[in-house]
Amino acid sequence: MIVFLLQRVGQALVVVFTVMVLAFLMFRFLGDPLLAILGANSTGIQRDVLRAELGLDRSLVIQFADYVWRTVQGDFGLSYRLGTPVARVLAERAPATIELAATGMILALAVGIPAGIYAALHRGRFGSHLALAVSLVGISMPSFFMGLILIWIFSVKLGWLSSFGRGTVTDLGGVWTTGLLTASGLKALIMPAITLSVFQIAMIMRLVRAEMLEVMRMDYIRFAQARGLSSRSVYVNHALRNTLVPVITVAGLQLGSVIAFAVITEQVFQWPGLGLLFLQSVAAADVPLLAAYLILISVFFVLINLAVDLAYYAIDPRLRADVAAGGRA
Amino acid sequence: MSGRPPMTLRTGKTLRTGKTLRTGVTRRAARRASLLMGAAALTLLAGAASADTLRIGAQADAGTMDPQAQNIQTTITVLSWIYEPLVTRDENMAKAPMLATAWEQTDDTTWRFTLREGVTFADGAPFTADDVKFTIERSQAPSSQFSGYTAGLTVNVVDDLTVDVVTPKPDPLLPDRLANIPIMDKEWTEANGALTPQDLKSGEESYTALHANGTGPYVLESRAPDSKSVFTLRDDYWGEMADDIETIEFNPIASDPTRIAALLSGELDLVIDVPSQAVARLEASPGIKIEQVDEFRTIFFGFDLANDDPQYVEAEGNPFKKKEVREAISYAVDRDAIVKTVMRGLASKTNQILAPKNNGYLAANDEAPAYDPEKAKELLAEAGYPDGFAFTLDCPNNRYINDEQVCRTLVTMLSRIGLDVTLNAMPRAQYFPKLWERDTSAFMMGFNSPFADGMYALETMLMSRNDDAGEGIYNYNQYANPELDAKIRSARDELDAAKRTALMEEIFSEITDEVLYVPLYNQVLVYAMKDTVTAPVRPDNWLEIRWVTMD
Repeated sequence: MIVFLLQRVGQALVVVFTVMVLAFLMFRFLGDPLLAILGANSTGIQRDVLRAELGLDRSLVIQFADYVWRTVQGDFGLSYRLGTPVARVLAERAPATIELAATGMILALAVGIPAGIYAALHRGRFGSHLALAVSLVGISMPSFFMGLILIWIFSVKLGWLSSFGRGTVTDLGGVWTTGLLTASGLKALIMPAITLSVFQIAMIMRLVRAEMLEVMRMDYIRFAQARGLSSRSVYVNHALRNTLVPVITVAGLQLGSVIAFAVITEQVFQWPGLGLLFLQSVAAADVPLLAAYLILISVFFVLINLAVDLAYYAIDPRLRADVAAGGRA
Repeated sequence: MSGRPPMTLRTGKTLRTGKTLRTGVTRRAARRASLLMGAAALTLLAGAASADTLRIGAQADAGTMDPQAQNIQTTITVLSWIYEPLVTRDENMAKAPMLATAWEQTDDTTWRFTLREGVTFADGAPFTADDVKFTIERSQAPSSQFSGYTAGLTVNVVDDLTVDVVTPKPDPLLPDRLANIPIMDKEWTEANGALTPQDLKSGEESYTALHANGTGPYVLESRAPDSKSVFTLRDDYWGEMADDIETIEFNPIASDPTRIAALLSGELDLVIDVPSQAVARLEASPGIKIEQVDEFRTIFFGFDLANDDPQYVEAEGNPFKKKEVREAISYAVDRDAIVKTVMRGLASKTNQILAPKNNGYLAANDEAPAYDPEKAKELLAEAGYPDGFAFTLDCPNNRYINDEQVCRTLVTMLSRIGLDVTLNAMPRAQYFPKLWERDTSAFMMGFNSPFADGMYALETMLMSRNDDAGEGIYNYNQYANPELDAKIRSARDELDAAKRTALMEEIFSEITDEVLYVPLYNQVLVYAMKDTVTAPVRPDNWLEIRWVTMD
């Protein structure tokens, strides 16, 4: 188990370093960060002074080495666009994105898994067809369009929900802000969470259905049924449990991409999270912020993968047996 | 110069108290007066108006609370609610007193400003000449985006309420320049260690990025970047306001449809960045009104006028150096069609690079040649390019309204006269550095003069390049004509206002005649608001909060 964890940490470092290299190379094509600092109308002299001051006139390799060195020390620098420390900006914005992504994923699992089971167990029924048809819409509709439709109905026409922002947030000890403790914060979460989860609901539902159908054909299900176990016990304890391994893998990876790609949803609802920050930073060629963001996202992905691997142990007893017998993880 | 601030209250405006307001008295002052008189009923009625909150929606947030760190209109506008310059502008864009009550030129290079008495910063400190000196010197730092406005100035404090500003050469535009420099409190800024607008090198955040302390009507109550900033009215504001709106909420909403939906759903009262495709729908919506004005932003195209073999042109020699070719391009552009279809009517066509209401603007120069592709072809043949030629047009895709679409339309129009144009559209973060390097043969540009005066455009876009003198710094067409330089210089150094204007008008006519640029149109600026809100639009897209009223 420890070997396994060490391997994972090693892999994580390789991934993060690769991201740094790629990010650094990519930024060369993003444009000149001096535009963000000085604006479109600046003189050549001003630019030369600042370029030298920021060390942007040094060779790429030295800039990169310098960057890695400072990053290792936990210094991500100042955002060119905002003039505030990058680490603090990211820490301020992360809660909004994490709350949104977590709510979206919980919603996706809470709706997607039961709907998938239903569609698998009741093949051919009207409800099952309906669920499949709706999920097809969910998979094919772009999320910005979905968001705008929701805004149109619930904000403009009905006036029930706020079309933008996060509502009133509560500050928890200066390290986390949450919108979950106020009525306006909860209301503000509804539309973005639905927008973000529609695709995930559809995908999880289809995945659970397919896996469930597969498992239901297995011999041990038939034996279990033959033993006279209740259908509930068969479905939940035997069939669903075996269905969950691929579902957890996919849901875990999806959580990563939900965080990374909440960009569109955050833009539509002006959700003050990392995605919105990312978009605005790209437009401004805010290199220190973008680099730190990409590193953060790669760390997220690595951690989620790790969590998914660990979840296998909990769900699949064979893996535990393997390790106990000295097998490789 | 009168000692009164610029606000002109609409005459005949009645208060809720039923009394007609005399110009020069704010509602708040009226309220206070009524309090003193002990007229309780009047107080109650007038007080009812003070619970107002004006919720403003904009495309982007103010990037910082430091008044010298970002020369971006949204930031400037938001900060103008907190901070105030010496000189401001009235609704006709004429200069008007703000923190200075009067100014005069005492010799060719010295301007004397008389400062307003009794003004305090939000933290209670008095406004004095030291603050003016400190602010102007701070704005000269390399990391200031306003150093171009104050380069070379020396400030001498004469007494607490008088300063002399010395310019390196005679400069009739000095008061206009200082209209862009909001005054900060010396003691406050020093006490908080914010001696430069931003210090990227040390990695230390400037205190002023998040905190503000100005002489203006509002104080920053709370700020969540990219989310919401709240401003509250000062009780002790020295100046006049058209209304006494207690709270301003500034909501950046990046997505166009969401911003418009928020206005329609009643979550916003005023939207200052209205996408052109939404205007028609908003006009048709009950309870919503539109205010618009020709913006100080002229869109035009420029071409390499220097190199004999331009990098991105496939032709014998440099066709753009021939006036006939530039004329041909101007004839080949159907400005009416671009204004009508691409800009949805929210632009006014022009043939000069200066927008109306700027000093040096002549309405006659707006007269653009009528669309005439045949004539354009003739001109091309005359210039020796009967079969046209090929070139690459550089164009931003996130800087001006519909920029890429306009360029695309232009490409199509030019193909009709045999010009084979390749469009190279890119984000502004790549576009401007490319122009800075003069790495372009044909480009799109939108320009506004920050001083409501054409000299800045002449100096920076038409003079031969000389970075040290600040001349030709944006002449991306690399034009260099000593005769024109001399003319611009003589206009620049002319201290007689009428003569100077006449000289500039002459120069702008010459530029139009010579087709040194091919201008297309002036953007139209649109604000959308609830019927109950009045917000006059300033052509430089500066939302003057002192003019806004709300019932």
